[in-house]
Amino acid sequence: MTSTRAPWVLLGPACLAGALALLPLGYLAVRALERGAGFAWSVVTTETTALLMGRSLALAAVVVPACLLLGISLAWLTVRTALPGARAWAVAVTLPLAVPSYVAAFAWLSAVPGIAGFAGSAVTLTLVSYPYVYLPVTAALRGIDPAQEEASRSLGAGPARTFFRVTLPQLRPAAAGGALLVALYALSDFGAVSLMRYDTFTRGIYTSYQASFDRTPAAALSVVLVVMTVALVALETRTRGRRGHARTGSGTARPPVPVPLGRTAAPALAWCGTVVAVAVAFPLATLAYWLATGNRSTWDPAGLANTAGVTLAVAAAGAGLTAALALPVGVVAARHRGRLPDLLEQAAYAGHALPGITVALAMVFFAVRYAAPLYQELPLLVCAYAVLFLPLAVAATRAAVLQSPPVLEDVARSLGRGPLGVLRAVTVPLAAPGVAAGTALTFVVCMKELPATLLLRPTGMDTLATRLWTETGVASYADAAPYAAALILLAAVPSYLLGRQRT
Amino acid sequence: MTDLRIEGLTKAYGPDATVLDGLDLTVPGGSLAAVLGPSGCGKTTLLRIIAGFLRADAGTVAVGGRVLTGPGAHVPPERRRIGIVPQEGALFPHLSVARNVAFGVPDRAARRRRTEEMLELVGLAGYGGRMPHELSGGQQQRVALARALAPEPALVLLDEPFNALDSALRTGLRADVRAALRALGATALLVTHDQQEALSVADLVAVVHDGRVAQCGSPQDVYTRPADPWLAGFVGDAVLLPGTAGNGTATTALGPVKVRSGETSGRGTVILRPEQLRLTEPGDTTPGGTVTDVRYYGHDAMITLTVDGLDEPVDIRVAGHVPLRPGDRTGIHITGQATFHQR
Repeated sequence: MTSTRAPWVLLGPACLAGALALLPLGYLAVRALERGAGFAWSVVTTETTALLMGRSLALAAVVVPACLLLGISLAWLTVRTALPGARAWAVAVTLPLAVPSYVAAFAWLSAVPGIAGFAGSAVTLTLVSYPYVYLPVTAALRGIDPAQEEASRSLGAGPARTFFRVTLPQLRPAAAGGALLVALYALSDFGAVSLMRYDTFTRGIYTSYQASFDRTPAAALSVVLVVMTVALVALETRTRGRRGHARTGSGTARPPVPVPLGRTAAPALAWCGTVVAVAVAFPLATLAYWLATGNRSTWDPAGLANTAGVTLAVAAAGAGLTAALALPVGVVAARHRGRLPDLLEQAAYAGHALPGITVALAMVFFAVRYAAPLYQELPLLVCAYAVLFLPLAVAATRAAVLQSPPVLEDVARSLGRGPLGVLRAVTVPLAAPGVAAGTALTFVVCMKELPATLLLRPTGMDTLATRLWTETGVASYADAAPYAAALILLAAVPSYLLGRQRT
Repeated sequence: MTDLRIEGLTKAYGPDATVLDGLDLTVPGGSLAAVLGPSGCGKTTLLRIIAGFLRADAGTVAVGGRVLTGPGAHVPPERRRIGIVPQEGALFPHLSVARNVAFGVPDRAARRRRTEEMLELVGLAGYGGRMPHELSGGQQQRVALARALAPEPALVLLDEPFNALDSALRTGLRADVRAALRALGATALLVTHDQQEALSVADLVAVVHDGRVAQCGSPQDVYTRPADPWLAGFVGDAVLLPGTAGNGTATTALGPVKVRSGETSGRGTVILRPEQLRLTEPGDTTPGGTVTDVRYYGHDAMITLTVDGLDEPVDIRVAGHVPLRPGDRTGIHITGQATFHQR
C-alpha cells in the first residue's frame, strides 16, 4: 500500500520534467497551425505527402513481416529445439540491436552501392530491428508451460498441429507487440533511409526543413508523422495490456524437453548462420575492410579523438539531465497513484512516440521563437536528448524503485525522516543500481542519436554519428569507417558492463 | 509513560467501503494491547492511521495527550514518535544491522551507545556488523524491534510481526518481545489475526469487528465473558445453546446452567467453552448425545456430538485419553458458569 499524496519535493521537479516532455508535441501542433488550419491541410493533402506516406507505409509493410519471420523462427529454434550451440546463437542473434541503422546502411552502401533505395532501406531496417520481435517471443516461449503442449500431444495432435494450435496462438500477443515496435522503428528511422536516399516521411521532413525558409510545411508533415507513430504506440500499449491473458499459472513448472531436430539440424543451423552472417558479420567485415584500405589521408587520429571526446561529453550531459529529470517522475510513478502522478508518467512517455526528427524540429521552432540565444547551442541539444530518452530512463527508475517494498519508506518516516530525508537515505540508495544501469543505457543511445543531433548541434560541432553520416553521404567510406568503429567500440563498453552486472 | 487514546476514528475508501466506523480505543501507558480481528476488519488501516501514513476521515488519535490525528490536524509520520515493526521486519537491505538500529536516533553522540543497548536488549549483542540478509527471519524481527525502540518512541506498533516465522520460533520470540517492551516500559499495540497470540502476549485485547472495537478487556475477560456469540466464536471455540434465563440460571437442552450475575433474563443464547463440558455415563435422565467425530491433537482432543433437541452439533474438549468412537452414546455435564446473551 502506498500513501496517496506525493510530497512536493518530488511533484515539483516531476511536473517540470513532464512539461519539458510535452513541450515539443504541443509546440509542433501550434507551429503547424500557425498559418491556419487550411494551409496545414493543403500541405498535408498534397501529392508529395501522399507519396511520402505511401513509401513509409510500403517500407513498414515489407520490414514488419520479414522481422516476424526472422524473429519467430529464430526464437523457436534457440529456445525450444536441440539446436547445436543454442545458447551462443541466442546471444549472437540479438547483437544487431547494438548496431545503429545508419551504421548498417553504411556497411551495405559501401559494399553494394547499387542497393540504395527501397531495397537497401528494407534490408537494413529488417536486419537491425528483428530483435524487437525475437526478444518478446523468446520470453513468451519460455513462459509457456510445456505441460500444455504435452496435453495437446496426449490428445492426439501431432507436433505441427500442436505448434499451430497451442503454441503459436500464445505467441501472438508477444509477436504483435514486437511487430508494432518494428513498425514504429521503420516509420521513425532517419539514419538508414536518408543514407539510402529513399524518400520516406522522415527524410521528407528533413529535406523540406533544409530546403526552404518557410518551416510550416515541415511542421505540418511532422504532425502527420507524429499522429501515425502515436497511433502505433497506442496499439502497442493495448497489446501489451492483453499479453497477460496469454499465460495461465505462473511461469514454467520445469524446462521443456528440447525438440530433436534430426535431419533438419543442418538447414536450421544454416538459417541461424545466414542471419548472423548477414546482420552481424557482414557489417563488421565491411568495416574492417574500409579500415584496412584507409591511408594516412583518411586516418586522422586527432580529429577522431576530438570527435569521440565531443560525443562522450554531449552524451554524458544528455544522460545526466535525463536521469535527473527521470528520478522524480520514476519515484512518483512507482509510489503514488492519482490523477496528477498518472498524468506525469504518461507525459514522460510522450517521447517514446516521437521520431527524433520531429522532436528536433519542435526544439528548433521553440528556440527560434522564444529562446533565440539557445538556437544551435548545446543546452538545446541536451534538452532534446532528455525529451527523446526520458521514457527509457523513467521506465528504468520506476522499475528500480519498485524493486524495494514501500514499507521501507514508511519505516523510515516513522523513524523521524521527512520525505526528502527518506528519498536520500532509503529510496535512492536502494534504487541506485537500477538507475545507474538506466543512465548507462541512456548514455549509449545519446551517443548513437542522429537526426536531433544533426539539426540541433552547434555549427562546426560533430559527433561520431553525424560525422559518419556526412562521410557516408558523400561516399567517402574509408573516411567514415574509423567513426563507425569508434562508435561501436564506445557503445559496446557500457553495454558490456550492463550485461556483466545483470549476470 | 504515554497512553494511546483513539476516539470516533472513521475511514472509508468509498461510499460503500467503510473500513473504520467510529472506532474507540484506550491503551494505558506502559501496557501491551493486542488488536485482534479477522482479515479485512480494518486493523491494518487502523495501524496506518495511528502511524500517520493514512489520513482519517474523522476522529482523533492522541498519544500522551498530544493530538496526532484530529479535526484539522495531521502530524506527519516523522514527527509522531511512533515506532513500527512491520511484517517480516522490513530492514533496510543496504544498511548494516547497527546502521539500521541507529537510523532513527537523532543524537549522533548517543547513537553508538544506544545501538549497542538496543541490540543487547533484543539478544543480538555483537551482530551490529552483519547485513540483514545474513540474519535468520527471527533475528531480523529482533533487529526491527530494536530499530523501532532505539529513538525512544512514545508508542510502538507491531504489525503481525510473527506471521512469517514457524510456530516453534514464534513462541520464544513473542516472550522475548514482551520482555523487551516491559523492560523499557513502552506502550505497544500489536495487530494480529491470531487469537492465541493475542491472548498469550497482551495485557489488553481489543477485538475489532466491522470497523469498531466489539470488545476490549483483559485476555481472560475477553475469553470467558464474550460480549456476543460472534465474539465467542472468533476468540476461541464456543458452544452456543439456545436457552431461557432467569434467577441466575438458564435452561438449555443440556440441562440447567449457572449464568454470571448481572446478566438479564428471557430467551437468548447461552455461551460456553468446549472445555466446560464433561463426558458422563449415558443415562435416561441425564442430557446426552451421539458422537459424530473425534479429532485428536495430542495434548487434548475435540469430540463432536449431536444432541437430542438441538439443531447444531456440540463440541467437547477432553484432555488425555479419548474413551469414545463415532456412534457411541454419552452423557453430558456442564461445569462452571456460562455467559448469557439475550436475543
